[in-house]
Amino acid sequence: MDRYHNYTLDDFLQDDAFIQGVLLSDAEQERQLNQWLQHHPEKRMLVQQARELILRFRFAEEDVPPDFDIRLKQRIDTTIASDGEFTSVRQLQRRPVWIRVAAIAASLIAGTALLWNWLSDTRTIITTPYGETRSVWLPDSTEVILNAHSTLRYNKEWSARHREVWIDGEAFLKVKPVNTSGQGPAGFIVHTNGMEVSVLGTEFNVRSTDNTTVMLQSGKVRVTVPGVHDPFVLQPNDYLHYNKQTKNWTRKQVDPQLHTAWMRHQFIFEHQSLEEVCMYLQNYYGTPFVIRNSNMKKIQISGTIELQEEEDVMSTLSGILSTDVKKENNQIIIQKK
Amino acid sequence: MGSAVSAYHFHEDEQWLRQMKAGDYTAFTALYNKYIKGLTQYGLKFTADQAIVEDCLHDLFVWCWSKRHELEIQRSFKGYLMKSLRTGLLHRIEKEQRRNIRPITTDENYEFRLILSPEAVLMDREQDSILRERVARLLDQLTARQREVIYLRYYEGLPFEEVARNMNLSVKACYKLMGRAIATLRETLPHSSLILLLWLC
Repeated sequence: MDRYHNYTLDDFLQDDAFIQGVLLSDAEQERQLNQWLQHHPEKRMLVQQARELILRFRFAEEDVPPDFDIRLKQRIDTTIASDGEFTSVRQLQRRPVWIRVAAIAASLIAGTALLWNWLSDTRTIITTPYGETRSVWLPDSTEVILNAHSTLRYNKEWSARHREVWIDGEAFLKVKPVNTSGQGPAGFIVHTNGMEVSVLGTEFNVRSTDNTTVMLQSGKVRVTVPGVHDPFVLQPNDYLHYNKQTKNWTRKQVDPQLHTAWMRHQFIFEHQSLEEVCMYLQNYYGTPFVIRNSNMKKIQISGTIELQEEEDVMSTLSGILSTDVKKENNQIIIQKK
Repeated sequence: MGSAVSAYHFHEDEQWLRQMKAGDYTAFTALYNKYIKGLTQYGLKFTADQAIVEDCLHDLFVWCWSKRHELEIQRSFKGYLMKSLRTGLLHRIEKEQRRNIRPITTDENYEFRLILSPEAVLMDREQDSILRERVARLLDQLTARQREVIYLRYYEGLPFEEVARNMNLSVKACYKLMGRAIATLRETLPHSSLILLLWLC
């Protein structure tokens, strides 16, 4: 504030911090500025003029069709799916980072037909918006349940022998075992976040964000993690967690309910840090979560959140934490009372 | 001071960029959703041809995904996107014009259309419309570069350094450009401040 002392109108109009404060109508800056003005009343007029001038430039928005963003995103997805993605899969295969999962066993899922999004010429792309999950049946009756904010892609020319899909985000797969006449069971490959999971028929959950996890519900799976020579066998309820950056893996027995709760529109967490919980919710709803008190980030919490309306989530969270949770400027703010 | 919000957004972008580099397509989508509206509006200031703007945005985002491993973002991702869009657009518009033998658009000579929003200024209705007309007239007197600098600084809220980088200027030249624009626009002030004072009394 001290530098404001000698400011002319033009100086105010060119001061980054001043402009930022006016544009964001920042309460803290307003308070500081008012305090400063109490001691420098002669500058009041100047500050007011500068503020007024800056705020005058609200420009008319150009007319854009309401579906412009969505159509453009579909076009981008299609381009990336048809060339970008193939390049990156090839690149990733050259690197020694991959997991192979093979499984024998099965469960059959019957279901009703679903609408497909026929978006590209060569790939079918199905994307779930924030806050919504969706079941998808592949041509071979394999069921894929997509969590919110996730994408499933597969070739329109579906090969019964070489089944493969690409997944970003989280999905639960119930792979249907298929015997092609006399040639043995057909393979099924899931490409996700630089890994390949290849399956012969089983139920498992895949989640790829910073880390990739595989949770096996039924069947038998052999997994190879980069850096570990001997492949090891996953049993039902086994959970494999792999951190791409540190190349660390963890394997443990888990309650499958915890990892499949999202399919029932629930988020169950046990002894997880508030930061992790918020990261999950942010990824689900697309609304940024802000923890105002940094010492709260690491506190461990347990609970169940119904993934319904944002307001319900906020009140549940507020109950668990016994603290204020409110929405401001399209962000969810967690702040100690 | 006043930078808490933008600092947080910067942090959020960093996180998403890291995830995107690790191959997370949802992070790429999140960044798209966050910036597509502003970029579209910015692009349409250079040309009214929506097809051209759409093409350039398409190429820009496909580029970001396919080159994500090489992407080096020095400061803000928003600034990076705006500068890349601007470069691509000016290049494309120039190509388009060569075909039509129209005056050529370059970094020195281009269009930048700005129209004041109807709900721009509050206060007294009648005075307001007079004022709006004056501001609109003054805006027309500015060069495209001056209009762009006003738009980037006062509407998009980019800091000076970003504005300078975006327009291929030194920070000093950018201040000067802005200074000249402000000198022209300030002519509207005495009148309106009077209203403000009366209003405060």
